[in-house]
Order: sequence, then structure tokens, then C-alpha cells
Amino acid sequence: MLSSEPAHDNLDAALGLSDAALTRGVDVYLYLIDDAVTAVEDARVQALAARGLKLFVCAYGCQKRRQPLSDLATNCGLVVLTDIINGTDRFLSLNWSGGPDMAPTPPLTLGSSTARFVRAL
Amino acid sequence: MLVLISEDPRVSHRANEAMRIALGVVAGENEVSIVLAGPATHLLDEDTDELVDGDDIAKVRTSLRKLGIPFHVEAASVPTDASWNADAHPVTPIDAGDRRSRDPGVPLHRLLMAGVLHLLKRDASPLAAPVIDAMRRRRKAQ
Repeated sequence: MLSSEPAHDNLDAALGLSDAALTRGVDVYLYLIDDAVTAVEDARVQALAARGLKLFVCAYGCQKRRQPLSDLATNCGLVVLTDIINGTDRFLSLNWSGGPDMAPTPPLTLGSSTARFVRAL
Repeated sequence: MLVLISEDPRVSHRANEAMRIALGVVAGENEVSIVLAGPATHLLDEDTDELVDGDDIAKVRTSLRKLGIPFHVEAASVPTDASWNADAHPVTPIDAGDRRSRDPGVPLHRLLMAGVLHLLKRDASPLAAPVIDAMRRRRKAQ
């Protein structure tokens, strides 16, 4: 799930993770919500969709932004997001909305250091 | 699932969006705990006109209350205004000690809508670290 605006590094992270996962033959579902809905027709996102990424976009988020629904993704709501959360082995949520100067240093080893980072929030 | 909301609803629409997502996940019959940290405690302000998407906040709050979903609120961040939580939404105060005292051996796999990158299920993806590392190196090089 990606909720930050397309200019944020989170989109690069989502694209990179999705690319790596698809390359390994993993089923990937990308749910764009909130500020990320404007990335639905981003050429990089669509390139991944052409490789098999299942692309979903929050219809409510589009409506709030007066953004037309796209034919290039599945427009849906939180029921689908819940199904994805429940039905997937791993769920990643990229949310940070602040600029790089505001962001705490993200952990590079996503195990115990992630837990430490989260505890420090 | 734990939904940690830390955005300030007085200045950002994202606090309401996080609460809306929490409601959606609750509706999917998942067990959800909602934590309001820092300025996010203002989601329980009586006067929602002062909040971004205030009308929506009132609706989502009402739905959560009807579903019996309490808010865990950071005690030190609760506004002193007597009108706070005028609707008497069930709240459970927590403090920083509560947040630190979690057993470090317990993985945080189910955390949503907090800061940067959180993992909700099973072990951290081995794909994530090298990708983020490469992204940061690229950013530094620019």
C-alpha cells in the first residue's frame, strides 16, 4: 500500500520492491490510496502492471481529488484493501508524508531494527 | 492489527484518512487497535470544524464508537480542553512507558499508517532492505 504523493521517495521504494518481487515470480498487489492515487497512470507503475502487477486505486481518494477514474487500474474501496491485507503473505505500507528533512532515518535491516525504530516513534 | 495515527488533524487530512482506513479494516472483521499518538489525539476534539475533513472525522468516529472500537491515546498528548472527547468515545490512556515496555522479542508485524515503512505480516521481506539502501545511495549521489 502506498499513500504518499508520487514525488516522495516512497514511490521509488514501492516500484523497486515490486520490480524485484515480480522478477522473482511473486504475485504483487499495489494499492494506491490517499495522495498516491495520482500515480495510477505513472508510466513506471503501468510498466509493472504490464508485467503482471495487480494495480488497485482508491476510488474515494480519486473522488476527493476530483481525479477521473482510470481505465488502467481497478478502482475500488477499503473492502478490497482488507482482502489484500488478509490474503497476502506480506503486506508493506509506505506512508511517510514529510520531506526528507523531516523523516527519521529508516532502518536498513528490516528486522529487529524496524522494531527498535517503531518503538522510538 | 495496530493502527498508529500520529498526524495532526488540525493541519493534515492524513489523520482522518488513517482513521477511515482503520474503519475499513474493522469492517473486514479484523481485530484492530487504534492508537492516537501526539497531536493525533485532536481527532477526538469536540469541534471538528477546526479539523481538516472535520465532517468526515465526525462520521468515522461515530461509526467506530458504534462498533465498540476504543482509542488508545497517548496520555501526555491529551488536550486539556474540557470539551475534548465530548462524545465520550471509549479511550484507554497509554504513556511512553507503555510504548517502550513492549517485549522486544515480540515482532511488530501488524502496524499500519505510522511513519515510514511498516510490515504487517510475517518476517520482514528480504527484498526491502537492499532496495531502500540503493534508493538512499541514489538520492545521496544526486
